[in-house]
Amino acid sequence: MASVTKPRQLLLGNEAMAWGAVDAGVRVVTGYPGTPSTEALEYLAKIAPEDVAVQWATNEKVALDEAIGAALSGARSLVTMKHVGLNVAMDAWMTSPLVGVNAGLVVLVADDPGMHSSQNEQDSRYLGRFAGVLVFEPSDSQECYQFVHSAFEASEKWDSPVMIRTTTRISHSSSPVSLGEAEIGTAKGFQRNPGKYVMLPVYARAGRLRHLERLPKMVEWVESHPFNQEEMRSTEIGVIATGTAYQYVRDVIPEASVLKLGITNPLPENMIRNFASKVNRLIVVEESEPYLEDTIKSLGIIVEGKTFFPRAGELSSQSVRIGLQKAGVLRNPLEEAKYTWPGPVLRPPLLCPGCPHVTPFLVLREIGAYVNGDIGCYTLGASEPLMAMDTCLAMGSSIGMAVGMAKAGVRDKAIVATIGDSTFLHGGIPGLIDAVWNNADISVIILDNGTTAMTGGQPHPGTAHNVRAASVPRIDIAEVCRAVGVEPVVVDPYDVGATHRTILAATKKRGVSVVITNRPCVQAPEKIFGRTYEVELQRCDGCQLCMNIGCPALGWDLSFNDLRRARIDSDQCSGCTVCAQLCPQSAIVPIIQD
Amino acid sequence: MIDPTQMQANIVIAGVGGQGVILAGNILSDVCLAYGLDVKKAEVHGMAQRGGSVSAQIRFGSEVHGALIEKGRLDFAVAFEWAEALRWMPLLSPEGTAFVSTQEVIPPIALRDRVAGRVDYPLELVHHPRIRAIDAPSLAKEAGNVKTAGVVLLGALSMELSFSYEAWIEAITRRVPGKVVDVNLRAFGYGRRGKKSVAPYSARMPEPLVRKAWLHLEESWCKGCGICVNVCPERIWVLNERDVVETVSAERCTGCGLCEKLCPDLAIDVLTDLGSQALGHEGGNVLWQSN
Repeated sequence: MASVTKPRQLLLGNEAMAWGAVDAGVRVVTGYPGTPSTEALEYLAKIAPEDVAVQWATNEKVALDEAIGAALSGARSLVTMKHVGLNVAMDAWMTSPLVGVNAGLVVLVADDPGMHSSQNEQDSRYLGRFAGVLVFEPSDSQECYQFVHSAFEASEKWDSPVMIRTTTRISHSSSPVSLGEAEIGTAKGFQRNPGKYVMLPVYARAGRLRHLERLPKMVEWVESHPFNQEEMRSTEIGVIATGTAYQYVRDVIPEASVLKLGITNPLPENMIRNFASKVNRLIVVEESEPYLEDTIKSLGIIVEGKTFFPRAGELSSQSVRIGLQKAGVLRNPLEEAKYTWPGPVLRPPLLCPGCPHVTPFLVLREIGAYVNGDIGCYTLGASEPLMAMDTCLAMGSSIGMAVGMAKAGVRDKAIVATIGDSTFLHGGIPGLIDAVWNNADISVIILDNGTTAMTGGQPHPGTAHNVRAASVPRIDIAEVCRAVGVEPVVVDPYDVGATHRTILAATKKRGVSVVITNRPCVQAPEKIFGRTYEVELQRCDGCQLCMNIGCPALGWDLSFNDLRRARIDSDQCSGCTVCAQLCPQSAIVPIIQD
Repeated sequence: MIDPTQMQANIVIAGVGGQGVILAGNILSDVCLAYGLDVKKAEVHGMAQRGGSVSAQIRFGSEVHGALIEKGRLDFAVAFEWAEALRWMPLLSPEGTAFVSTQEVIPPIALRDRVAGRVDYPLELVHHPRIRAIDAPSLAKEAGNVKTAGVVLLGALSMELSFSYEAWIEAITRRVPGKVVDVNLRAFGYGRRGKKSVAPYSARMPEPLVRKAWLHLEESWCKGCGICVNVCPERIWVLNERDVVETVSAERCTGCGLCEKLCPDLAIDVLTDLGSQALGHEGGNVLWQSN
């Protein structure tokens, strides 16, 4: 059959993985948004055939449960999440290889070394090994496509989920991809098999034995797998590398022999031994943890690695070069004449002009409450100039931490938890139930902007749609609070006075109080613009009060020598009116259109 | 110029969120792909886009591996914003060129010095032979849409690469929405021709008028209501254990006089060297206006 040749196209790693899943005939795709994994599912929603279920889940654990359910029902399934998301799904993850699959199950986990957009950097390969599943690590977009495709087959061969582990520079880098043939996906349906699918201890013990029996066979299988490749060049130096580190090594030291590992659990022990015996010096170059290095050392092979390369942050060609210089493999470059440049301008991320999260944090800073933050845009409430957040740990942690503070006897200030709508539905509800149950004196402020804003505006159970479904039942957050036993007070965060009174009253109450702010995100899913405002220069006396909002549209008028009076960039102003309400001189007024 | 299929270069496109950095990166990558070149492009997504810097690093050639550019190996920097260029200058190779828009986007954090009014932003001309300042916003406005400033800069860059004009036109036409193709092509043309009309950048930050302030508190009149504590934009007042206000870090006082105006006990005096001049604008002290 003549196939239509698809042109080579430039794809993000995430997009290439989406194509890999579509061409493998995936039937069910689920996940929870998280940088750098988000685009994979979003892109799948665009390109997958209509009868493929593509949906965001409440959280990563539910997402994985759904994918396991679908895989047991004979449908190839994909789950996407970021590294910390796998922690949420850990319970199901650890038992999933014992249950196995009935059709391929691929779990895409995107790590974020360097913490571009994360609260920690962790190396998910350990969690792949912990569960005893295959871990595939692609090193460019073409491999992203191929690896996902093959991962489904491998999952079916081994009756176990397969992890695709990427890092930010794989997920968020683009390179040319040639797509291959597409398979037509089918769902085989569910066949009862309680001995395999029901993890009663009696069945789980058998599952555990099956699992342990499989592991050495998997080791044998990876020995000859084409994803692990030996590239022999000079025998002076041999490098073992994986993922993006492989690319940096090829750039920096093209003459070195390289053992490129595309599968990092289990490791091809004989292949490594064989490679080690052929080179005079063996070095591992890997991002984040010394995962490969430690394992190779445990095989009794002499190898170097993290002595030369940083464990924190992400690698780059630059850091690989410096590492190889430290190792004495590359010569230090000659000192070049240096031109000194002024230091770059700081440009930290900010809450957007008109962001509805601003007023609650202005109020909280004024009240002086201890604020337990959570994961989302509003974590920026911790940065200048708002500086109104005292803790932030993990998805949904704010409420539990507030309860802990209250139970530790903190009384000098009000204890508050701030949590976004998506995060509340993801992991905040059990915390709220606990707070009510244990009668903690805390206030919970649910910053409901009707979207998962930080990752770009994905729907969640509180929105009346999902990524592909135009209309789904909407979970009412206020009703959830009522069901838990707290009557929430809903307030418009654009009304500074009302927000102030409401939050102040909530913090004075004994027991659990809930305030819900209800303005939609100004950026996503759609951009919101209102009537824009300007500063009447004669009235502004440069008191700088509006600068406490941290609004990107507010700056100084720098057109002549004067007091630093405020100026509003009308292109950016969303018309939220918060600065106009705060201005003591009433100098901020709506622009009158002629 | 060298055969385009033999070209190799490391290019960074830099700017701030919403300027079209990612789009420009895609256009350039498409041109490279059309010549059968290998391309690696690294972008910044997620948190950095909330008003932060955005960049696309693009490496192309017959075979490229990593997407990140090393120090001293950057051939061209294309900056859509004046200060963003500086972030990449240390990477520029001795023969490299930076095409820099004169557009300034001053972040709020550069305006932290509210007393002296110093702006933390390198407005002064950076005298460097490799920097080519381009008034891209004006050229873009002339083309019909100020948002095409990035494409103006691509036009300037295109004169340094041996890809054909047609290849660029095709990539732009494919990547931008149908109704703005014409204005983008016009902007691209202005960028290509605009080489000579480039004016060196020489803006100067206006001097701030600094208001020196002296605070005076009549302690015995203060009843500890806390109004000044709450209204001070710089948060220099606190209530002490005797329920009387006192200042912490009074040097942060900008002399705005809000606390004086709102103190119900007339316990606070804010004296400034500008006297009534600073506050004596039309409308006067509007807090006390009766309407």
